[in-house]
Amino acid sequence: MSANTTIENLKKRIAGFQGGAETYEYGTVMSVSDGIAKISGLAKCQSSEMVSFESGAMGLALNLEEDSVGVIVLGDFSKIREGETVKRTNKILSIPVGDKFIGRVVNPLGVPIDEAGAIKEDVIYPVEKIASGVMTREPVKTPVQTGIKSIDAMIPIGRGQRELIIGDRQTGKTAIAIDTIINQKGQNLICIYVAISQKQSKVARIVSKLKEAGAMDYTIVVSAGSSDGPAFSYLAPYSGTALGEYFLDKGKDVLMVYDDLSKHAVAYREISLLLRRPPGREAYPGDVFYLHSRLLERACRLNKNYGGGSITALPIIETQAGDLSAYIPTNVISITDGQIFLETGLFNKGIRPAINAGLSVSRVGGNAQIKSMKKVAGKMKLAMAQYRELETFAQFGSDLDAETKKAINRGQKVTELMKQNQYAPIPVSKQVCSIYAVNEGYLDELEITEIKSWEENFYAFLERTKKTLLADLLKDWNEKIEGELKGAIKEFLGN
Amino acid sequence: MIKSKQLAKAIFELAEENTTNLDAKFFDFIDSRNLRAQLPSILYHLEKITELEREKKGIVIETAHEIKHDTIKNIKTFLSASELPEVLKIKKELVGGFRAKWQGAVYDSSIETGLKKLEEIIIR
Repeated sequence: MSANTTIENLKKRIAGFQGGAETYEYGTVMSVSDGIAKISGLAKCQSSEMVSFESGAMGLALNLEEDSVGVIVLGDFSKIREGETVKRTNKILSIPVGDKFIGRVVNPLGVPIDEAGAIKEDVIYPVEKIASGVMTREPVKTPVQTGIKSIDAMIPIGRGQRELIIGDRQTGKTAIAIDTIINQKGQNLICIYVAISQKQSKVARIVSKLKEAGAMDYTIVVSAGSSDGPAFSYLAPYSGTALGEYFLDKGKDVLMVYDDLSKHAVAYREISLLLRRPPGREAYPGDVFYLHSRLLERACRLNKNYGGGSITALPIIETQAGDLSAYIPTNVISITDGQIFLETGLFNKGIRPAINAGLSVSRVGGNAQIKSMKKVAGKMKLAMAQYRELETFAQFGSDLDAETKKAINRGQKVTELMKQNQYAPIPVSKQVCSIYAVNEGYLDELEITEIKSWEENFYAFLERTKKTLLADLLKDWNEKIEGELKGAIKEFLGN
Repeated sequence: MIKSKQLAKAIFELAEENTTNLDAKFFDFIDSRNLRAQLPSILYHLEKITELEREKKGIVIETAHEIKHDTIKNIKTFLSASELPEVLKIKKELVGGFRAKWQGAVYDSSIETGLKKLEEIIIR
């Protein structure tokens, strides 16, 4: 571009400039501390409206009181001074959304933090939105394949479902969510990982893992770091959902991971206490249930008339010493359509993912399971339930009758088969094959230590020689396919 | 310990209510609580509260330079605020024009704001 063109462009812009006076409503900062500002004035301010401080910071009006407005400051509040002017913007908190966000790491205001340049999107979505109504929805019927055997078989998740991942610290909650994201390659599912009050190092590790697995091609990471303050942590899940709703409105399927909602509740408690709202149980404010219910209600499966898109939510909750009956866990359990409960004891025993099959449920996911998996998983669940009951007798060894011994042996083999390494999702058709094999007793004669290598070799064999069978298993389940599968197992064992 | 800001606020409110013998009562209270050291701070806050109150009840006119009384009168008439007492503030950063604040609203016709808008247009 020549200098003359630049001059012409500038002239055009200046000619189009309309100066003149402007009028707006204003308030004055009465006090500011810990990211909360009390503003006098702003009489017509709306709840969740953005306000702009003279020093440059933005705020979100949360408390509308008789003679003041309580505002949470978004970003750096150190420059805000008492007596400073605050301007109304007449805008409810919104963020830019769009396709260009895919593959990026952004903060809860939609500002990129991955040093890959600015994102120019003109579409703006409100951060808070009323969830889709009853008439716009339809039941969950398409599966989200996590690639984790125990989940896909026993606790299946459907597109549009809300499945809670709950457990103590260091039990593999995030690992399940990340594995699920990694397994969505080519599944036509956009993933949004929302990190709430997480260490920057952890987020960086997750992003690099997702990049390594090629999962960033369909993933957005919304990160509110632990040092960003409670305002960002409070906003992060809503912002992430606003991004998800953009894709939902385009008829696409979205997977949301909220890691984790315990920290979100803590951030909201901090804000509420600073705003002097009355504390309730465990000092959480009275509306902490609504905080999560209005978020998770935004997960849905829309019917064809409304685009047919879906938002699947995988919220994560961290428990203390396995206590499921604490305030926030019980709240979120009651909101969601099931939970995956992870146990420290199982994790330490080497059963990973450390899923407690007894306490984990999926209330609606069964309808979304593929036919073949539904068929084989039922028998496996029965074997696992019998094993759980008989497990305590296992220590008596030889004093048991043959039937009991057989059930214990089968249960042990199933438990061993359900073990899986991190970042190694398995396609559902291969899962069906291995589960069928263990159900039919083909693994009964193997030693526990041999199961892993048997499984790996079996998958390699299927991949090499039975591609058609694997494809058929995804579509249907009938006697012919069962016969072929049986033949494939025998052929493998014969080799 | 009572903060000087709280004391300043209390004395301001009592003064507004026309409390009798306020000075004597206030100094008795200060002496009884041994708070004489806080007097400069109380004075600072009291002046600030008074100023804020004056601004709240009147119209604040901010300009880059001193302006004539007639101009002030014209501005007040233009903004339909002739009845309100004015508080004048010199703010060099406005460059020119004026900014008026009254009853929770701002009328901004300063050069500073105009330049900021122009900057936004050129950059965009």
